[in-house]
This record gives sequence, C-alpha cells and structure tokens, in this order.
Amino acid sequence: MAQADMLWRGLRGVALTLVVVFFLFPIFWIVLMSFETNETVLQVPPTLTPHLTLQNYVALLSGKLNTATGIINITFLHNLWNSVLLSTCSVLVALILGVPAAYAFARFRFRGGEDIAFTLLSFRFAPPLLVLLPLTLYFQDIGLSNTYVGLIWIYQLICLPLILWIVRGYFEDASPDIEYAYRVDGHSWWKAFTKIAIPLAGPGIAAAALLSFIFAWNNFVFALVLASADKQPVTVGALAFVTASGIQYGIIAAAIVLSILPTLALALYAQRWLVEGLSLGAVKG
Amino acid sequence: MLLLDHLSKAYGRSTVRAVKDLSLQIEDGEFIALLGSSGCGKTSTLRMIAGFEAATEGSITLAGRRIDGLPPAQRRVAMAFEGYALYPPLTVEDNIGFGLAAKPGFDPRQRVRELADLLEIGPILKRKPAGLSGGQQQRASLARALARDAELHLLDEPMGQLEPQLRAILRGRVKALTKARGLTSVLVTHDQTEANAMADRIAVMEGGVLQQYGTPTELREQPANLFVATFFGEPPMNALPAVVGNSGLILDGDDNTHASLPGVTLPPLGTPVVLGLRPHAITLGQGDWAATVISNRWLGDEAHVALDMGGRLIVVVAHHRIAARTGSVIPLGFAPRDLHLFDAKTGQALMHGVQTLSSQTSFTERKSGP
Amino acid sequence: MNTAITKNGLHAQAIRTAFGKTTVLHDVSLAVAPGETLVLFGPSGSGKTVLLRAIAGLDPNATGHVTIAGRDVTTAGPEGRSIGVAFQNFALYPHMSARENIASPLRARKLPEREIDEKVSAIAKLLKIDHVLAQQPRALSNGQKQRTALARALVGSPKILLMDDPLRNVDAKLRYEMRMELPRLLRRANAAAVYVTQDYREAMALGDRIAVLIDGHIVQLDDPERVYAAPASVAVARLFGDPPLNLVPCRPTLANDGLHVSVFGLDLTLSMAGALAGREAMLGLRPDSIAIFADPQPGAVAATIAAVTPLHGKVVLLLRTQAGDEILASQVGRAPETGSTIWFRPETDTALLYDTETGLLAGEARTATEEAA
Repeated sequence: MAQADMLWRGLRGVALTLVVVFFLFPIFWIVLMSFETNETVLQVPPTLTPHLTLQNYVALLSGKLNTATGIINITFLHNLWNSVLLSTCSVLVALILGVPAAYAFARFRFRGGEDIAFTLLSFRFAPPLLVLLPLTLYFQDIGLSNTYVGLIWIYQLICLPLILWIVRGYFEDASPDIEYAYRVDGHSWWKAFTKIAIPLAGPGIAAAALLSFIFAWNNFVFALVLASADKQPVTVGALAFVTASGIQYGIIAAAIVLSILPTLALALYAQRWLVEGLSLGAVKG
Repeated sequence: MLLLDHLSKAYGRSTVRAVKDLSLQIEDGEFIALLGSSGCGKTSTLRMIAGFEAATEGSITLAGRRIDGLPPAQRRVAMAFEGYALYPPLTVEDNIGFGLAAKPGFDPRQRVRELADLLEIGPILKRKPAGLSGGQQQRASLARALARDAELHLLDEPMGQLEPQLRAILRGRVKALTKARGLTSVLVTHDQTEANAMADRIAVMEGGVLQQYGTPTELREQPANLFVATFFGEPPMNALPAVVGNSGLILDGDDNTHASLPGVTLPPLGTPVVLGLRPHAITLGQGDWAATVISNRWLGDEAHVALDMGGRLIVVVAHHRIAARTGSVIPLGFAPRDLHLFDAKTGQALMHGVQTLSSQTSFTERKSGP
Repeated sequence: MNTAITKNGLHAQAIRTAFGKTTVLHDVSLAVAPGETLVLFGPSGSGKTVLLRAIAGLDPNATGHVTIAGRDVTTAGPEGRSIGVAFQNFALYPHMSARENIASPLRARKLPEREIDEKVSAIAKLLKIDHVLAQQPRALSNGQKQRTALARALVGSPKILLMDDPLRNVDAKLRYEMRMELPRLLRRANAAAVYVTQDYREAMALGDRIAVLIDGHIVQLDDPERVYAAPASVAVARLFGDPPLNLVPCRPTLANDGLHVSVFGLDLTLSMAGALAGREAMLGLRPDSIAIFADPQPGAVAATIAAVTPLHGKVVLLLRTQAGDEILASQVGRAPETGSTIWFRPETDTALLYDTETGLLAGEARTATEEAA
C-alpha cells in the first residue's frame, strides 16, 4: 500500500515536471534570446553557454540599432506608450459603460435582456478578421482610421464583453437585499449603487479590468490593420524588426520581454489583493 | 456496526482540526444523529464516512471492514444529500430505483412504490427533478437513499426543505421504516427536534469535538456539560451563574437570591458554578425566588413565560395557563431533583438532580470548612 | 383603533403582485395600529415576503395602495416611506463596521455626528451589542449579526417596522432569547410592526394578531389563541399545531343530543350545530386531546404504538388501529414502548368539524369556544 503510494507520487511528479517544462521552456528560451546577439541566436547548433549581452535592450531603449546595413531608428518606447494609452483608455471606457450595464443585466429582468447580453458576448466568438475589412473601409470614410479614438472604440470589442460578463456575475452573487436595506434606510437609488453595489462587486470589477487590460494589451490584429506606425502598440511594433536585411531575433525577443513586463507586474501586484478581496466572505451574509 | 476510531480532519495545511479525535460506535440497526450548529464538524464527519474526504487521522470500520481507504462507491453506504443530487435526466421513479436489481423475492418497483407512498411523492413519480419544488426533490433524494440496501444510510439534513407539518409526520414514518428494515442510519442535522424525534442516540458536536453521545433522555436529564445543557432542549435550559455559599448557592450579583439546599454535598465554599434549570422544571406561583413577568403567552398547548430576575432572563414553560400579567412580580421555585450544577470554569457537569435526603453530617462538615 | 391606524399606523389595500402569469398576491389588505404586532404566517411560497416587500416599496410589480401614518406612499420609493426592515439574511453591509451599519438610516437623514453617535450607542446597548460596534459583520457571530440588523431597523424610530422571519437563521438559544426580548423592544418602538414567520409558535408568541396567508390570500385574521382554537380551514389547521391536528374523515348525523360522528368504530357526540349532517366531513382532533390508557376502557379503541417521538417536554405517539387508521397523540410524561398496545379515546371538547368539500370550518365544540372567549 505504502509502496504503491510512493510510486504514484513519483509518477505524478514526473508528469507535472513534463507539463511545466513544456509550457515554460519557450518563455525561458525567449528570455535567453533577448540577451543574445542575432548571430548567436542563428548559430547552428545552438550553444548551451552563449555569450550574453545587453545590446538588444540598449538598442530598444536608446532608439537606435546598428546593423550591417546601417542604423535603424526604433520607435519602441513610443509603441510602449501607445500600448499604455490604448489599453488604459479602453479599459476605462469599458468600465464606465460596462459596469452600469452589468448591473442592469444582473438586477432587472427586461424584455430581450438576455439576448442583448448574449449578443455582446458573441462579439468574442467571431474571429476579429470577420469585422476588420468592413471596419477598415468605413473607419476611413468617417475619419476614425488611424486615430486613438477609433482604436479605443474598436478595443471595446475586446474589453466590454469581458467586463460585462464578469461583473454581472459578481452583482448577481451579492444579495439584492443588501441594496434594498440601504434604500430602506433612506438612501437614494444612486447612493445604493455607488456605496453598496460597486464596493461589493469591487473584486470582480478589478479582476475584469485587469483581464481586459491584458487582452487589450496583447491585441495584435486590430492595431495591425487600423493603425499606422505612430499609433501602433508594442505587439505590432515588434514587427518592425523584420527588416529587409533580415529578422532581428534578439531585438524582437527583448521587445517581447519588455512588453510583457507591465502586464506581468500588474497581474502579480493585483493577484495579492484580488485573492484578499475575493475571500471577503461576508457578502452572502 | 460502524466504528469511528480517533477520527480527525484538518483541511489543507491548517493545524485547525475541523474534527478532533472523534470516536463513535453505532450498533447494527441503530439510528443515530450527529447534531450541532454549522461549523461544528458534523458535515466533515459525514463526508469522511461517505468517502468524499480523506480522514487526516483515525480509522473508519463498517461491518468489520476498514473503509477509510476505499472510494465512496465501494463503501456500501447510501446517502441522502442535502442538495438532493438527483439525476436530472431520470424521472423521480427511476432516480429512486436507480441501481436496484431485481432478485428472487425482491421487486424494485414494489420498493419504489412503498417509499413513494411513505414519503408522499406518489403523484410525482413520473416527473423529472427540474420541475419539482425543493421539498419534493428532497423527498425523492431521501427515497433514493432509503431504497438501497446498504450497510449504512447517511441522511444529510434530509428534511430541511419540508413544511413543518409534513416533516412532523415523515419523521415518525422514516424512523419506523428504518426500524422495520433494520437499517443502520446516521442523521446529520442542526435541528434538535428532528434529532430528538428520530434518533436512538444523539452525538452532540461543537468546535469539532464530540460533546456527548447518548440517548435523548440522557442528554436531557444528564447533560455532560453546559454546552450540551443549553444547546439541547427547547426552550434552552436557564443557566444562572452562582457561587457556593454557606447556606447553599448564591446567584451572582444578587446576595438575596439563594438556592437553599440543606443536606446536599456541594463543591467547596466559594466555587463558581452555573446552576441549570429546564424551563419545564420551574414552577410559577410558589417557591423562594421572585421575578418580574416580561411576557406570558399561551401557545395553544403550553404557556411560555419570560421573567426578569435581577437582570437575568428566565424562561418557563407550563402545560397549563399561567395567570400572571406582564410587569407583575411572582414567586417561582423548583424541585431540587431538577437542578443541574456545572463548573463555571470548565463547564463540566457537577451534579444532576440533587438528592435532598443525603446525610446531615456532610452538610455540617461542609459548613465548618474554610 | 381605526383612527389610530389612519393617523399613525399602516394601511395596505388591495395589494396584488404577479410574476408573469402567476398571481402571487390576490388583492390582500391589512391594517396595523401603532404599537401593534401583526404576524404574517404561512407556508413558504404563500406570498408573505412578497407582501412585505410590496409594503416596503421594493417590488415595482405590486399594485394597490399603501398608506403609512396617513400619508399615501404608493408612489414613493423605499427611501421615502420611513420604515425599518429586518431581513431574513440580515443584509448587513459587509464593508462597513457594525456601528456604520446601524448608523446608516441616521446618515441618510444627515443628522449631526453627535446625535448619530448617541442614538447608535443607545440602541446598541439595548440590544447588548455595544461591545462589538467596531467589528465588521464577518467578525460577528450569527446572534450579533441578527441584533445588528435589528438595531439598524429600529434606530431611526420608524413608524413601520417590517420583519422578514428574522429569527429563522439563528440557533435555538438565540431564537428563544430574542423571542422573549422582542415584545419588549417592539412595545418600546411603538411602531406598527409586521412580522413574517413560518413557525406557528413564534407567531403565537409575538403576534397581537395573526394573518394566515395561504396561496396569496389571507384566509384567517384573528388573535393567536383564536386561530389555534378554531383554524378557519383545513389548510390553516394543518399549519397550526405541533404535532399537527388529526383530521379524520367522517359523515356526521344529527340526533336529539347533538351531532354524532362515527370514527375508529366509536360513536362520538359533538356539541355543535348540525350544518354538516349527512355530508362528507373531517373531524379535527388535537393530539393532546387523545386520552391514552394502558388498559381497556369504555369508549376507548385499541391501537398499537407505531412510533414514539419525544418533542420538547412532550411525547408524540403515532397510533395505528387494527383497521389501519393512523392518529397522532401527545402527552406529558413517560411514554409507553413502541409496539405495545394501548387504548385511546378522543376527547370531543375541543373537536373541530370541517367541510371536506370546501375545507372550511363548519363547527367547533362549544367548550372550545368558551375557552377562547
């Protein structure tokens, strides 16, 4: 019995290790790549002890890359700024629109309510390319093409459904009696919403905001098609290193590492109090 | 026979035990209840017996077979779930008869029909769970558990969703059925009325610890500690802090209210104690104490009277009408044999029912003490 | 009393609520005077909570008129009705301290901080929760949560107090404590109180009057002892009493000395009017008016004891006659063994007679009437 137990435990350990290696190796690889020069990256067979360098990062941050064919100007920091701007504004707009809507869907039963909510979610089902072509055409017509406003608008396709569905669940979980009690005390509907409903759904709103921020940040297709160089976020910006003189693997890797740092930091930071908030078990009395 | 031997349960890496060193023996054909408020450990215990959770320490033996290492399906245990857990695609009839095989002399359909009659769900046998009320689903779940021939039947709050009147009738019927078929049953409930009505023996739990395991009469007449005394019995026992004085017991904060108990061997002078009196054991209109009536209601078959005695709430139940107005001061008393005495520090029972005929010498001895 | 109600009490008229095509409340009306406690009693799903919510203004689907202290509040929202509500699940604000929870109705009125402090402290002291005011609700015990919720309902001295089964989720000890304390608190608050419960004992212990609500209709509205002594219908009778009333099918016949029924092979004489003579009826017998004997007695029927269940200082016996009829009896004191044979005799002095067709009360024994009077 005890032996079988040990064997079982050992097998489980091996299986877990395999899974972890399978998923984490690419990340390890890309981090490693970001510290190598293009030459060592392309070396066959790859060395296990490559010469590590910071030159990729230096190039990205200084905005200049020296290559065999000359100096390439890099707009990476500007791309990073675009990412921050687009993602933050998109999430803010989605929160302003989505939280009251989520509340309405959670608390009130109205004709077609379920259908509307489902339609909004269904935006997530279709591949973005489905809507991209017509969008490009009429964005050009109404002058929204290649503007921050237009991009933020399009990003609502990503953020709004997420926020709506996650936050709605949180509103539904909180007993409406708590809001009723507050209104019976003599507070207005609006106060009950802002002082009771929103704080109680706080962890959910934060989680939804975080998720939609990450989704917006990682978006590629919308920005690729609808934005020109000066409005492009980092995800698209990294493509600039696929140059005529070759692909700058080292630099792309460094750009990717830098671009995931903000979301990673945000997720790690938020995780702590998200968990704390989620265990605020008193919501259901 | 079900034997729980030094059973403990800790969740995760927590050192807090949800169940602490629980040992319990349930005889064949016996109906016992695990009684306690939420978080007392009764549900964890049940889940360990059923096999949904592994015991951290200890063993579980059912009918001579260690079952604590076995998966639930191999434990020969039937269970009625608090959350019903009916199979949605099956009708109530098929749910109840699920897994029952026809044998010579045994017709599953016959058993399903009997149980349906017993639990009054005959009219809904052909329906599916989704359209049924909570009470109907609960009875279907109970019927499914009782239909099976198992070594042990676990009933987890099996009647919580029923109307009080139906519940009152079904308690008697279910108990009679388990006795007729000789089923060994464990009822998990927070409702002492249910435990009282159905169980041969009741295990009262609190804070993961077994407080007392005994027949309803034992729990009522000889509660092991103050917790059991005030938890078991409706309305709860009146608990009055007191100290042992020269002439008997002196109630706290009130030098004038004594319980004179001549000829009784009491704990040493000055010992803090708690005096316990059942609401049914107090007589109104005569006695050495006096209290102000707060409320007096006749509830159809008994009177509930609340009194204020020097800031202490005393509840009295009488089986006849009490003529006392709110605000009036009336005498009250009790027979020494109805008195319970608990250690104020540990809560352990010191004595149940004082024998007033004990020798006079012990009384004098006590008096001459420090 | 009527003027008092119009001036200071609660008047709900023709309250009707429907969810989709199902009507939950059928034009229910009730009036409660200040200082009075009306208990809304009924099985789950009978519409008690729905009615309470309609009075509180929490149900936008409800139609009818609600007058509070002479003011028509039908169109007002819950914040404009000056009511206090105690919810079944307490509905405390989890992100505020107990003190802020209780202070909420006073804050809504924008009272000065000092006055808020004084009032919160006073009510907290009265409810014995002054030592936990700084705590968040999740740190409170069930009993403390419940008292906090009550304090919040009472602190603003509302004209109307609505309580939705507030003792349902607390253990027996706390339930009895509160049951004994509540009448005093309610008297002091002097509000018109509506109290919802499913527990008939609680209804009798707390109610000045009881309104029995079944399937969205008030089927009986009377003082507690009257409802117990003479439930207006079979449905009410089933709800009032633990163990419940025995209902024995019979067909009464009229004779010179009163109404006769034949049940369990016995011929019983009922001292009541003969409206039901010759029709299908049900004889209602309280379990505590079934006399039990260890030996054969004149006018007593033999039965075996099918089950013995102790119940709060009483013992309930399920008796089975040789003909297979079941009847519940209850008694105080020692019970006979299960399986043993006893003899029982129904005492007819509190008997009730119901019309099987309508389910309505058709007659009650005269002694029962006198006792209740």
